[in-house]
Amino acid sequence: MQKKHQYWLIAIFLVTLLTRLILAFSIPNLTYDSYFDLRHVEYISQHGLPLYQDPLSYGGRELIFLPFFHYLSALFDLFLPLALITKILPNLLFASLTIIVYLISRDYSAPESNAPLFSAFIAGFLPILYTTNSFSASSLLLPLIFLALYAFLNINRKKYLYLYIGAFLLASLTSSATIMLLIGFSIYFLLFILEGQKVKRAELEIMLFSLFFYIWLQFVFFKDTFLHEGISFIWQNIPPQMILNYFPKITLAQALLLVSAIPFVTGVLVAYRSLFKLKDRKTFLLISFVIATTLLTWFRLMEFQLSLAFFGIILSILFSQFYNESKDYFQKTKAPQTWKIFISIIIILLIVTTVLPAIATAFSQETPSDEDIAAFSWLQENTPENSTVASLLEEGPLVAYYGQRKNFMDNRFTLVDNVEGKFTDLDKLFKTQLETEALRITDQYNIDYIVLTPQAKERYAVDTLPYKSADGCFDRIYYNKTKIYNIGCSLEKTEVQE
Amino acid sequence: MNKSLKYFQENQKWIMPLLAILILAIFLAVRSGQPLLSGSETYHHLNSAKEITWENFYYLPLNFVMNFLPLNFLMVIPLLLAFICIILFYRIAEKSGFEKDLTAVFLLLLLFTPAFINTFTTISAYSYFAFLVLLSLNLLQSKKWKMLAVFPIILGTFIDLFSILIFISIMLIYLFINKKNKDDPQQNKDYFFLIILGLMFFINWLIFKIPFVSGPFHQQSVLPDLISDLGGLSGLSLFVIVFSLIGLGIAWKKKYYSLAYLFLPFILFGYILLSTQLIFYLTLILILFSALGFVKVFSKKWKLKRIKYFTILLFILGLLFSTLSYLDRFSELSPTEDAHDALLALEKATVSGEVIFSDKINAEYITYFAERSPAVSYKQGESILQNIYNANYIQDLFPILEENEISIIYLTPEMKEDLPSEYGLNLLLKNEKFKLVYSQEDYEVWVYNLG
Repeated sequence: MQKKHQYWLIAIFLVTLLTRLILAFSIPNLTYDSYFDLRHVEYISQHGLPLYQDPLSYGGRELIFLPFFHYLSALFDLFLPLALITKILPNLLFASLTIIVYLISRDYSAPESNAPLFSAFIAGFLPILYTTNSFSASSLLLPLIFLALYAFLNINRKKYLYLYIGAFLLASLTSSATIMLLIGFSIYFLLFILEGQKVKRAELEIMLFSLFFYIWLQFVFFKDTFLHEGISFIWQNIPPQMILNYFPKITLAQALLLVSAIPFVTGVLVAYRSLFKLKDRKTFLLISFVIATTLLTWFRLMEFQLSLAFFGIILSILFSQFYNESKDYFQKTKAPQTWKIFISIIIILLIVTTVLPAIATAFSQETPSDEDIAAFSWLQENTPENSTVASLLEEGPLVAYYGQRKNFMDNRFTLVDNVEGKFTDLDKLFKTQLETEALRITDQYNIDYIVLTPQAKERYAVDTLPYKSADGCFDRIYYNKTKIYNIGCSLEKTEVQE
Repeated sequence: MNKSLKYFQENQKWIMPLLAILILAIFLAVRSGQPLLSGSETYHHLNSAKEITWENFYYLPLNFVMNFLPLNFLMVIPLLLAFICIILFYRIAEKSGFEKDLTAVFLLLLLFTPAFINTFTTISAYSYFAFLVLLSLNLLQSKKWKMLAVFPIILGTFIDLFSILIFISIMLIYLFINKKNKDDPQQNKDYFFLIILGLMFFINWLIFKIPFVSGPFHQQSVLPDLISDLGGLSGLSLFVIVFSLIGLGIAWKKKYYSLAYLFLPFILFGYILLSTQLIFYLTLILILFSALGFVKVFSKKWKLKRIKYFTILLFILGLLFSTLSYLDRFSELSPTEDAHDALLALEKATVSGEVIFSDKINAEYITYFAERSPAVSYKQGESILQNIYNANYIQDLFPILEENEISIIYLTPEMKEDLPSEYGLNLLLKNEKFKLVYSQEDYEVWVYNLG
């Protein structure tokens, strides 16, 4: 690597990291989902083992997850406070994508080309990745997958073989979404067959190994899930009412905004030229991943946010090819000096279409307010230990983390029985006008408290629980913007008579 | 080659049948304390063999064995069939010059496959069919005993019409591979057997009215019944399916093996569109492709040698994982010890002729153990089941019970789990017209006061 490039790369990495950290620390708290992982990291720190029999989620149930991210965070927890780790670690990992993307792009470019630096910059400021306050396994998964990809591109050298194996094993232990890599490989293999070309033997061998390792590991962890949910395990038992949240239908304009317009347009151009004209092996591989993520998203097999992030990073790598090709083109024209004007325009456009939307994305993250957290923390001190609390679905992890109480529902649905019915009842609990209907639900699920946050009020357009009556069945015990109700009644059963 | 591998390869025709017995015996052993034979199909055949008429004379051999052996000893039938099938298979493989490696891999994969284990640990029509086909082919290959093949061929046609078509296809392939001289009298005899098969197809279809595919004997679901790791009744390991995809890509290069392509769409369509009961046939064909894929991939020299060994290890672990996971479930297959006790209590609590309502999965067990008539089975009474499950008021439930003369309700834990606890049948049973006469381990027998 050239010294000049080294300095630039370090600068891009640091600017990315700094921007992310500033945003992360200026936005209070973490995203709702993060509290699930946070609780499990804390548990691993204290007990050394993952909490697979979760006593608080859904009132207590078996909950299996891939634990590498949690173990890594717990390792940092040994010498740093967890509050810091939750903000620094994911952002550090996302920032590391700049280096990985640089390394992959460098393989496509001449040694003196600046193209990889552009790719690194785009990867550093991709709007879709600017969930700076999210503490989740995807922050580790994406760097690991791209590290594996980098190693795969150089698999003929021994050290890269070990790098690949290491990165792939860790990615498989981090998230099931590692299947993206395998589906990408399969499409790469098919493209080669269609082109009548031969895939390198080492590549084939490593693909087969990866496939078997992945399947085996998934079985080891999720055997019960497969047996319990059958083929529906793919959709993680998400209630049908929630499917659109996980796999939303998105317009082209939204996608352009999230992966940034310039890499998107240039990526499409490069993909077209590579597929139908150049037929370069490495670009084939990247395009295979674009096809894989598109298919997975199309068939609603992968969470939208993650597949778009993956797609965006590949586009940023493809940008370097665009850069090189357009530079070559300009050199061949009668006015090679116009290249500088062209690239200046591109830089301005890149800054406008990546940095600004990235910052906007960060500020639009949904996080609980300090006041919400105070209300959930209040539960811990003021409610009996064994009580069950109903709140909005996304607030379930807050009940468990801050309140240390059983939640009625949260957004980890696997292995939950009758999740659709529970979701409908939770919805009814906030919507119904009938006290008896609310009591039927609270009785059925042994719910003791209901938390009504400003978010819930806004969603259901209510200020208090609609069925709150004077008979003391729903006592307001926490007064603030967030309200907590204690359920003091139950329905009496009557005998069925002929 | 490694010494032990060489020994295995040379003696596989003895090792494999013994290994089969060992694996199947382990599976049967986990059921100790409860009826060793599991599955609705087993009890369907045992019920059918209780009385022999001209319409079911082909159950005569089973009827004969049932008269001598108590229920749990009947498990020797599938074990014996497995043992003989493998020996017969080796005789054919040797005479036909199958590659030793491929034969060994094929059988090893087969022995650890839940579909094979399920077929050869129960009284299954397809294990019997496999035995008859292999016996026929062995006899056909012998000059001296050739004509005796007519008996297993005829017996093999009473399973179902789909199996006859499979048999005809096998015979056609046999004739294709062994085609010599048109004037050869031996060859002409082979055509005679083919004609017999064709004739038997029409006789069984028009006179005996045997079904196109036997069953169903369980709640069918295409994917879980195919991939055992998804919790189906049997199926194959996902690892085997992956290798069968590789095998599919290379089988066309191998002489004769490409004929397997003809079977695949035929069986696959049957499996998807007609019945997942055909899983045994699908398993055989997929394992053949899988063995081809396995031999092709691992007989080559790998560039990354360590990765090769690690991949083999993962494959073996994956295969064993599916088998062991199936072993877990196998011990819980119906009828369990508790179900057996409940069914015996059901017999005591009722008199002959009473009609019993339960889920269709219990129909054959009710007939065999309690010797009573089920109101609902896989062949009849689906509407009764739905109407009773959906009844929310006694005004809905009582007329259905009276109309169908149902005087007993037999509830299993699975049924109770499916039924809502707050309303429906579970709540209606609290009515004074119902009396709980047996309740143990979530098995309940309720008597309904008819009229």
